[in-house]
Amino acid sequence: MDSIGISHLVLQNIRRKPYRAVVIALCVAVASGSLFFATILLRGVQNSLTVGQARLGADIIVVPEGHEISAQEAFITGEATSFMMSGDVVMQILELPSIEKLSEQVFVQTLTNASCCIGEFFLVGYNPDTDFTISPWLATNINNQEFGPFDVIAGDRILLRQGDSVVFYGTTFNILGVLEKTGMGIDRTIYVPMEGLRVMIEDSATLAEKTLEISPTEISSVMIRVQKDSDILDVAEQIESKVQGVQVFTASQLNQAVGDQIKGVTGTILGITIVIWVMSLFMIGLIFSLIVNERKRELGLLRAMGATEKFVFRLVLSEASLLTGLGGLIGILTSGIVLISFSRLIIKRLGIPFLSPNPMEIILLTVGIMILSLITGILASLQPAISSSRMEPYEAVRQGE
Amino acid sequence: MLKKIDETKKLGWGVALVGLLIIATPWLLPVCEGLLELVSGKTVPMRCHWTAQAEILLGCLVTVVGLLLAFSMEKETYRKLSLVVLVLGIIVILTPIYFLPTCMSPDMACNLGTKPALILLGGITLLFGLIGSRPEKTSTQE
Repeated sequence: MDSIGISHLVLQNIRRKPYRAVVIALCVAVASGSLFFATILLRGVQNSLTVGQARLGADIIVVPEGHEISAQEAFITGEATSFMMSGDVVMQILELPSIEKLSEQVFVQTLTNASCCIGEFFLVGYNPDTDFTISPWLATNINNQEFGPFDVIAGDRILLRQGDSVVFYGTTFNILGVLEKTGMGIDRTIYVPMEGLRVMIEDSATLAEKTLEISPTEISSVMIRVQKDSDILDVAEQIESKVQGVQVFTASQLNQAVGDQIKGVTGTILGITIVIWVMSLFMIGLIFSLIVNERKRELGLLRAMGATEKFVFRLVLSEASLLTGLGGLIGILTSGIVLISFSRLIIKRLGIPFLSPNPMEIILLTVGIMILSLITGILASLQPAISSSRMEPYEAVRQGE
Repeated sequence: MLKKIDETKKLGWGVALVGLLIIATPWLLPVCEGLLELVSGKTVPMRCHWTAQAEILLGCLVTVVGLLLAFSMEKETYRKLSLVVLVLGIIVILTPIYFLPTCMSPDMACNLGTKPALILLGGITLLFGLIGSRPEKTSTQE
């Protein structure tokens, strides 16, 4: 009986002053929406970096001097790039201690009017004998299937599927398989066996619209895995000091670069969210103090008709938590719709990798923010609820007149 | 009665505002800019250009119907116009997906911003149409 009475009264009060209810809900909606947005963004980046780094497999990446930034962008966002250095670098690096595995790669940008797709894509030539980036995936997904120099692996975001054919620079390649999504540059990359890539480069003079000027001994990068128990940064420093004309970065530095980028954005959003939340707390508290003052007569009459102190206390708290809970839900839903609709645009504009967190994480986050919203309503209206429940009925009715 | 008219006006202005946003979307979140060269050598705009043109027209229709809603006084006119809004909302959603689809690659400008924005605005239009066309509760008092 009590709970039916409370819910009826709460809804009646909200209907009587809809604009006030909207303001309260809106404050919490903005705060909860921002928090949801920032958290999903941050978790998505972390997810992508974890999966992407595992796929990359390398501890250290060596590129020509002056191309560290474009190389990092290529790995993070798949922004196609092409730069070369002498293949002699490989032999120089092999002389150093603590190198467990090493594999060279060649980067080529596709032409914008390639037959498969509009826009530039990233071709990466890999050495099947030494590679440890794509080979583990091949071993798992292709098993003992024979594949040739023109059988390529495509990233998830390329509009090609297993069995498709595609022409790059006049040479036809077959799609052997498609990698799982990582949210990083790998998704926009096509891995080509080095032999096939070299044939494509050579034949581009006669078959393609544009000739590729890449010497057979040139490479773009060297992927390195260090021995266990070796210090990755030490090895990286050794390479940079002993091998001329190269720049070195580690996988953790790649993560750091992305982390720094995203920190600014999410830090700002989280900062604003905290400010809005604190302000909402005070504002809702103030509004409910005014509400309780305004409804002294009504509350006094309720007490006079037999409502207990506990009833009045619960009435005020219920109204506050319903509005803030609703605001929280609206904020989460709005933020979710924006993220689902515009995630690719946001990711592209921010230049960050992103892989959606798993559904359980999203559910837990939603529940957490809803609880926070409800607690906000309860905390904000606690003092007004206590003072209204302790009012003497006669005095309340008299003061309310 | 006065409350009902007030609600009609609000809904009508809301629909008109969404219509203006649909018109503005191809400017705020532009479609792909490039031209396609045909085998004959002629250049034509990319297909998302036509999607944008169609959505501008639809946006104009939504705006006009919204204004008619805002100034309608008859209950039945209001309901029928709301049904028109509902149908327009469905067409706005389906145009970039089915009738005049945008480019194939998901990373093209039209698919990053224009298409999701239009689908969202079409969804809001549809929602307004549903709200306006819902059957009225019979009440003993007005």
